[in-house]
Amino acid sequence: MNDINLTVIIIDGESTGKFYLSYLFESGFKIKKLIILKKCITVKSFIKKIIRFDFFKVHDKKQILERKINSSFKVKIPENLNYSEYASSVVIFKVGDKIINDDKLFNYLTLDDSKLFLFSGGGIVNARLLSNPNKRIIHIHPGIVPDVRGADCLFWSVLLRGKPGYSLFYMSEAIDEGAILHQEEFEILHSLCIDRNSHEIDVRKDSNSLLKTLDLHYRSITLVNFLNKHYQGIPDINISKPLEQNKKDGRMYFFMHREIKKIAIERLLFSDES
Amino acid sequence: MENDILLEKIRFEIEKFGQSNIVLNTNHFNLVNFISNFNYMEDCNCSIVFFKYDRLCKKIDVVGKLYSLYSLDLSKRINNTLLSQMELERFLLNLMFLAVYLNDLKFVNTLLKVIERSTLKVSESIERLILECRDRVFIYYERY
Repeated sequence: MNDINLTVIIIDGESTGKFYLSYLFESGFKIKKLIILKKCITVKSFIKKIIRFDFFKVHDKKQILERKINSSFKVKIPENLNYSEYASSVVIFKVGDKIINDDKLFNYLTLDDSKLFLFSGGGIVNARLLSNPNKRIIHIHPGIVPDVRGADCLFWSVLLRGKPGYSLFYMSEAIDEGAILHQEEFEILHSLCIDRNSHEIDVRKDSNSLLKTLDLHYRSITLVNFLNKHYQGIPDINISKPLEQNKKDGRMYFFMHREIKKIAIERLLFSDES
Repeated sequence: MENDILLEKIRFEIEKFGQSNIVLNTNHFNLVNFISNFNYMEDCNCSIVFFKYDRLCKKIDVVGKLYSLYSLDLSKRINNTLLSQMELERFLLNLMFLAVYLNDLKFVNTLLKVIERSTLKVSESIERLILECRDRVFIYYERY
């Protein structure tokens, strides 16, 4: 295994972290540290759960679509991970509602000797963490920036550029405007073989399925391709000069209306027939 | 060809409103003046106008409200006066014109959200026109 000086911060139970770790492991990378954020149940979060009826939701087994997409990729994502296999050290950190912006976590990260972090997602990182010049946080965004910034960018990318695209950049205070380290685009999968006549698109369900599978595979591939490109046999990754973004370039996209999203989903799922 | 017919229809609706007197205020961005001075002959190819409409989409997509005065960079509102229904509809006609002229999916996305926003009231005729714009731009993307 190749040790790399990268600290990955994941949220306990969420899929993104599992994907990143599985891909890193399969590509022969062992990270320096893994910080697992465990959300404490506070009065506020308890009330939120009640409002969202979370306690009464039946968590179905993986959708057929999710299974189909996952089977198209070589790397398989285990349901349960033995975290110590993936990182030289593992820290479990209890956080409140602010998650990544938790005060105790901020103090811990400030004192920690790690310099390069990857946050698997779950909120906007606030300025105080990003302003520390000795700490850099990388983020993988589902869009080629600056052209495709903002929300729902997997779907925007498919419609605007014809294919999913990903950018790996240093997080900055301005959303999706950080200096770019790596970018790549992916051809639409032709191996899904989904028959338009047998699969009626349910925009909410199918977009969730795509975000829980396809998007995470592509994000993870982007991460390992970036590391493979820059790994030079030593734990410190040699990052060449990142490409600064011009804030005036590109556009910011917002959540996609379901009618437009339906077209994007059709492009992703039924591409063989066009 | 069909885009031209729809653009003509939007132009006709825009012309019903006429143009207001330009009130210059260099300290603020006056949205009412900005929208009423939209010149479809020139502004549809003007990057400055495009950039402003692009920024204004956020006000509908995220905030769901349009105010009459903003700071020059459009980052914050200056007053609490919301656009009237008439002013809002004029804004939407301009946005529709740009959406169809440029086949702009982001503008269509914003327009579709207007129909569902309870904070933004528009007439049925404007809603119908928005749906026509949607169909035209969707056809473009289906070919693309």
